[in-house]
Amino acid sequence: MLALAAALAVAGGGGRAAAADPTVSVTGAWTRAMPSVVTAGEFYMVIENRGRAPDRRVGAESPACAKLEPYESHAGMAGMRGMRPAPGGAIDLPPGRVVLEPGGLHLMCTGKRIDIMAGTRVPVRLRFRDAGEVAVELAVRE
Amino acid sequence: VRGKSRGGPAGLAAAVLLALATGGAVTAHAYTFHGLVSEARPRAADFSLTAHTGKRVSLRDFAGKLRLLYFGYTHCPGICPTTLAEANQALRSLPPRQSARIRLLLVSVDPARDTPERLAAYLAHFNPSFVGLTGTAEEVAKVAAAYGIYYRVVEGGSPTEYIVDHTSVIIVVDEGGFVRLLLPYGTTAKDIAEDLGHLLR
Repeated sequence: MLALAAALAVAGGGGRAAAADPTVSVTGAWTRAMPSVVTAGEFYMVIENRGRAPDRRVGAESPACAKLEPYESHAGMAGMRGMRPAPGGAIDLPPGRVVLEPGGLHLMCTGKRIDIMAGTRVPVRLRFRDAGEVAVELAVRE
Repeated sequence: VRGKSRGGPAGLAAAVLLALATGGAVTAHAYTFHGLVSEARPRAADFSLTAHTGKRVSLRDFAGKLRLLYFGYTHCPGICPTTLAEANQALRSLPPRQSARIRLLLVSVDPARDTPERLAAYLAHFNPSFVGLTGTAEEVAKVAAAYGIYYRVVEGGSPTEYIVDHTSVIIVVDEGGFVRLLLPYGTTAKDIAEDLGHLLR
């Protein structure tokens, strides 16, 4: 009931949500500890859109990275692996879950500004077209 | 009983490709490998490259060890660190008497940026027993071709920031120098450990 009320309040506010919009949530966010000499890294997470309408991740920032952009890993012939920027630089969020994971869609951190060490946490702010900003802390795994 | 190599270095690339294409062959052994079994067991092509220590080394220098050959590069942000982290976790989960008999060799497909010094700094993060190998562009190309490994620099980068697409597979060479197993990208640490543990049993 409370959720419904919140949803109505959001809808009443013109459909553009504040930072605390509950329709989009992020869980299981993590990245891998990387050698200091590596200036890039991949950020993984599960983004859930609980709303009925599609949303879109339109931006992301982290104090740990000069740039944070969606990339997609792909598999080719003969065990080839590579990655490319996600089309349009955005992540579409139909109602449901989008999984960012190794070997698939992920956020690429380039121009790394700090050492990403195991046991520390990396703050990230994600911007969604409709749901607004969501703050996330990534766990750093070995 | 180890048979004679049917392929030799020339047949090795074909065997690697065939296994990758067919998903390996089913064996009649009681143990079922997670990786792709190399039924032909071609002799692994020997090579000489510059190690992260600055010394020239050859594959043969590690004879008597189970060798895990992986072609990658240090600027690789996801695929290579995932593979190296899983392999490292696998090695750490094995009893020391087994892990001591394994050497992981990372052959750089980006020798222009991967100097021995950079490889040393990179690999220290994962496991001090990992060996980094680099060389001239021609040297690396020759070794990669012998193992059926493809790589290419992706257009659109800058001269210093670029992505290299590459075949991502761990090639397992046994103590005698024969290719036994391919561990494709995505093989978990647990599965790698079980397969290596079985080869070293």
